[in-house]
Amino acid sequence: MRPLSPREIRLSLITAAVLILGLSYLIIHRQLKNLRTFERREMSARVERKRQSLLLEARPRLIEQMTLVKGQLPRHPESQDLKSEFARQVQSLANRSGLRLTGLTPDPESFLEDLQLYQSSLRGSWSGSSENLVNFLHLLHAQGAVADIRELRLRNRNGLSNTLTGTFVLDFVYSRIPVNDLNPGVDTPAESAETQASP
Amino acid sequence: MADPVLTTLILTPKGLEMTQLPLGTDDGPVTLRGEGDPTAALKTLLSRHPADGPCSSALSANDVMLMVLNLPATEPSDIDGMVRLQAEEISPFPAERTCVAWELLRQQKQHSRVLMGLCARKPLDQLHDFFQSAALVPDRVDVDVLGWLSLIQDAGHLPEDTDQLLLIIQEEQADMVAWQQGAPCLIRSLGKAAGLSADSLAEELSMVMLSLDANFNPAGQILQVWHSEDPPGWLNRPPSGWQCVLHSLSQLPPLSQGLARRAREAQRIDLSPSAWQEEKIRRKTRRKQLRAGIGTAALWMLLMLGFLGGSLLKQSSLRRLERENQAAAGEAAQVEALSQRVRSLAQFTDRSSSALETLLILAAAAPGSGTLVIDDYRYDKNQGLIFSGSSGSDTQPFYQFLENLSAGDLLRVKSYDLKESRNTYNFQVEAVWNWIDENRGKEES
Repeated sequence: MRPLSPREIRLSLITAAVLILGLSYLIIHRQLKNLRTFERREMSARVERKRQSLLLEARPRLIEQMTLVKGQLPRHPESQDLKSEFARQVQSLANRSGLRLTGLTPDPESFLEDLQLYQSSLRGSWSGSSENLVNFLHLLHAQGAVADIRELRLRNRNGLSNTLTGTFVLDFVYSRIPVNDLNPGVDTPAESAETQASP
Repeated sequence: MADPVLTTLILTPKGLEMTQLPLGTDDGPVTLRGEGDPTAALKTLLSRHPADGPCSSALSANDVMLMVLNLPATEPSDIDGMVRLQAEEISPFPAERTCVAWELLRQQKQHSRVLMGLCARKPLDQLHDFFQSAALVPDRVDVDVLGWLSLIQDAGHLPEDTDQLLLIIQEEQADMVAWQQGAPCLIRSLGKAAGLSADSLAEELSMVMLSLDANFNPAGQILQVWHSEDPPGWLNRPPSGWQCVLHSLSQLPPLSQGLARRAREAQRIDLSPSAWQEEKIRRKTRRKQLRAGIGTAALWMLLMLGFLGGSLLKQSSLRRLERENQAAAGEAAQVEALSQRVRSLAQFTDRSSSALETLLILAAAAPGSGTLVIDDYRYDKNQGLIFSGSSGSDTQPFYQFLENLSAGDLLRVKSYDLKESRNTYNFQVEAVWNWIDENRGKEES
C-alpha cells in the first residue's frame, strides 16, 4: 500500500476531527435534549408523587370526616320508595316558603358503593320572588343534613325581584337499613327539623 | 517513576551481553548474558530488563578504522572539520556510506590529540537491523577495543606516566595498542586472532614501532598481552628483543561495562549515523502523537459515556419514580374520589358554600341598593358561579362589586366581561370556589 503523504495525513486528521466533532455534537445535543425531557418528566412525576402522598396522608382524616358526616345523614328503611317522599318534602318546603314549583322530576336512585350510601336527585323548575327563594333555601338548610342544592339557576327576565324563574337540582343522600333496626327517634331528622324551622 | 537506565548491548561470539547502568544513582551496573541466537537472547533479556533510557552498542575494531591524529586546533568545531577532511582523504568507502566520529584524547596549548574512528555504513546497518528486531535504535555506537582500554586503565594497568604496547587478543580478533602518557597513540587491528602467529606478530611489531615517533618508548621492550581465553602457544616464543607479560581479560569486568561507562561520558566516539537519531526522534514524536491520540480518544469516550451514562441514570431514576407513581395511582385515585365524595357530603352539614350562602354573599357585595341588577345566576356546587346582569350607566358599582366579591375567602373571580349597550353596562362574571385553587396549589407545590 502506498504510504500517505504528509498533506494526505493532515487532510485525514482534519476530516477525522470534523467527523468526531460532528458526532460529539450529535451525541451531546441529543443527550442534552433527552436530559431536559427527563428533567421535565421527573419534575411532573415528583409533583404527582407529592400529590399522591398528600392524598394518601389525608385518607385517615377523610375517613374520619366521612364517618362523621355519614352519622348525620338520615337513614331510611331498605325497601321504602323515597321518590314521592322527597317530592312531598320539597313541595311542602316550597309551599311554606311561597315558592311556586312549576315542575319536579326525580332522577333514579343510585348507590354510592364506596360510601355505602344512596343518592337521589330531584330536578325542579320554579317561579317566585327572591324572598320566596331565600325562604325556600333557608328551610332546606334548617332540615339539617337531608338535602343539598347541587345546581341552581335563576332568571330575572323583566328586572323585578318578584318575578324570578329558575331551575334546581336537589341531592338527597342517605343510608338504608333493615326495617327492624330503624329507630324513629334518631332516623327522622328531616321531619324533626321541619317542625322546628320557621320560614 | 524509576530512574532511567543506560543499556549497553554488544554482540559476542557466544551470543549477547547486556549491561544496565543506572543513571542519577550510585547503584552499580548489572551485566547479563544471553547465549545462542542473539535476536532471541535480545528479546529475552529486554523482556526481563526493559531498556528504559539511552541505549548504546559497539562495533568490533575490525570494522572500524581507528587513527590517532595530532591536530593544530583546540576548538571542537575546528577539530570536527579537520577530522572530516582527513576522513574524506583516507576513507576507502563512498562519502555517503561512511561514518566518522572522534574523541579528544589530550589537549595542549595549540594542538589536540584526537582519536578518529571511521567505518562503512554496512556494519552499522546490520547493527541497526539487529536492534530493530526489539524496536530499539542505539543512541551511541562505540568500538569494543576502546571499552577494553577503559577497563584496563580503570584496573590500574595503564599508569599516566608510562608508555606501553598492548596486544589485546579477544576470542575472534586481536588488536595492538600503543599507549603513551595516559592515552593511546596508535590502535591497530590485527584481524582474526586465529590467523596470528609469532612471525606475523613480529612483523606487526616492527611496523608499529616504525610508525610511532621516537618519543614512544615502552620500558624494557615489554609487550603487555591481554587474552580472553588460554594464551596462544606462539606467545611462548616472543619476537626477538621483546618480552611478553600475560594478563587475562577475565580478571577485568565485562566489556559491556567498560563501554557503558564510556557511553555515560560525553565526547566519546559515537559512530551512530545522524539518521538514526532522526529516526529515534521521529519514533518518539509518533509515540507521543499516538499517546495523545489515545488519550484524547479515551477522554472523548469518557465524555460521551458520561453523557450517555448520565442520561441513562436519569432515565432509570425517572422510570423508577414513574413506576412508583403508577403503583400508587390506583390507591391515590380512590382517595381522590373519596375526597370529592367527602367534600360533596360535607356540604350537607357545612353550608358555607351553599346556594343560599352565595346569594347572601352577592347581596352583601353589591355596593348599593338597585345599582346592580342580576338577570341570570347559575350556581354549581362543584365549580362556582356564573352570573350576568347590568350596572346602569356607571361602571364604578360593578368594579366595587367585584372588589367586594374577591375580598371574601370563598370565591375568586376567574373572569368577567363588561360591555356597553344603550347607555347600560352589561356584565358577565365567572367566579370559582377558592378551594379548587387551594387544591391545585397543593398539588403543584
